[in-house]
Amino acid sequence: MKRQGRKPRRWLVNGLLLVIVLLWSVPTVGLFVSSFRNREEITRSGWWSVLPHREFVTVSTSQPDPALDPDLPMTIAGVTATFEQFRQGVSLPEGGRVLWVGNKRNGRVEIQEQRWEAGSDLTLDNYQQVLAGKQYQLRQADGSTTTVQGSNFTGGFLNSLRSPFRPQSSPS
Amino acid sequence: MLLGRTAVAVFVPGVAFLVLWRGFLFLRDVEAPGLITVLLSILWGVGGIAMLFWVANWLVEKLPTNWVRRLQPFVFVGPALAILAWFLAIPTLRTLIASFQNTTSSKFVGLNNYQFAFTDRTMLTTFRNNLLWVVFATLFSVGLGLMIAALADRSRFERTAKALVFLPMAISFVGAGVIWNFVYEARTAGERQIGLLNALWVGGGGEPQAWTALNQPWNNFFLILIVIWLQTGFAMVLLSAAIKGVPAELVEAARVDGASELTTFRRVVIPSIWPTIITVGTTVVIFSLKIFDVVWVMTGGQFGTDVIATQFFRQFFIANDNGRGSAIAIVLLVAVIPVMVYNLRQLRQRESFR
Repeated sequence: MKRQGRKPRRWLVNGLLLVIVLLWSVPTVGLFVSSFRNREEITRSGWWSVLPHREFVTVSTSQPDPALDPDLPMTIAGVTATFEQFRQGVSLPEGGRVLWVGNKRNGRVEIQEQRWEAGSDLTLDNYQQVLAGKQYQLRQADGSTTTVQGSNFTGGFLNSLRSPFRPQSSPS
Repeated sequence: MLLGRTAVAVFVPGVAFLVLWRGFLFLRDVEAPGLITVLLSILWGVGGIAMLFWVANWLVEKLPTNWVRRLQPFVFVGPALAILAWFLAIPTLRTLIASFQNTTSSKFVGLNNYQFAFTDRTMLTTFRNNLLWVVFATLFSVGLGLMIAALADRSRFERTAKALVFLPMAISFVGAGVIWNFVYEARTAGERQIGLLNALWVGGGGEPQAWTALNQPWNNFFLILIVIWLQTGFAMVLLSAAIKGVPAELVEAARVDGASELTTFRRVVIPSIWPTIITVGTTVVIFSLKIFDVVWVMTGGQFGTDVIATQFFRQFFIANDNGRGSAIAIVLLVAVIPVMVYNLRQLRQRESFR
């Protein structure tokens, strides 16, 4: 029943289809992108942060001046604000912001700038580790280090080929 | 004469049995390279089955004609029926018996387990959730599948669109759980959200939500969404094929009579593909009744998301309660059977229609 009679508006059909297909693909794309990120990045930011976006990047880190009293408004890098405000980040007049990281007694001051970021953290490590196995450096009691080869995907793959011909141990 | 025939009739099966038995003992104890043992076993197995059939057939053919007619089908169907009974009927029967017994299946306790299954608070939540699953997973999978199939049928990008929607079908349920964790992940307010849904939600000015955990009973819908995402491709493929099978003359005639695109679809196409819609729908219903993996991976049945299958697993394998576990399994079986019978009957009708 294709290509005959009156056609419904083509842009409407294609547009709807495009929306559906995009919605359907987003979760899988998320997995695909995440497979190229290391675990710290995955737990720190969403997978869409590989797309170009503006992000605060730390340009300098310093210990706060011991003379500052965190219980009173403080002046750091030319701006005056309370401790709570510095924890949230205080904008600098020339751009960027000042951030207090940590608690009142044991913290550090970071000057951050907004920069464009895109896909800087993509890596093939996950694939390398899954396909070839990760190498672990183990420090022994006598101080020497040994390298241990972690298991890889090949065993699992072979098992799934082999299992039809082999009685499997019953799951506990 | 009769004596001689009887003797032969006993002797031949005896020899056949002896050959099979000796072969089994030989293969069990033989010290040969693995591959040779495997090849011999295949030979012994296939040859043995052929020999059994031949001997049984030969035996039956010795009987009077109308007995041959009556018994011969069973010679060939019998083994299959026996294996079916062994693998299906006996386990079901054992489960049924265990469902009337106590935790360790050592004493009969009457209907206690069923009383638990139908009155316990957690079980009532379980049934409610399964009902949600059946209704919403089926409605949306079939509805969206039908919509996409109809849209794709009118588009130049049909193949690409259908392939992308079908893609999740290739993903295991556990894999889907991982994928959707990247969507549902929740962080406390103020922290950077790494779940897509919460990132959008917070970006729109909302408080971060634990989608699969704390919004009872709505969290069930977020789990159901995963299965809709997985199953729509299945519905779409079958319905798309059915839509293409609608005779072009029918659709053409409707258009000539002045029916709009939507009316044609509603009054001509849908009635023509109704049997397929029913078959797909019942398949998804059966599937939703038995749902386990997604719930187990995403919430483990916590936060009021338990379904019958997870409750069965919990009672049987975690609480080690054979009785309750079996009772829940029987309830699930009884719930699935009518849908399955309807599904099969529908399928048969369609085949006879063609």
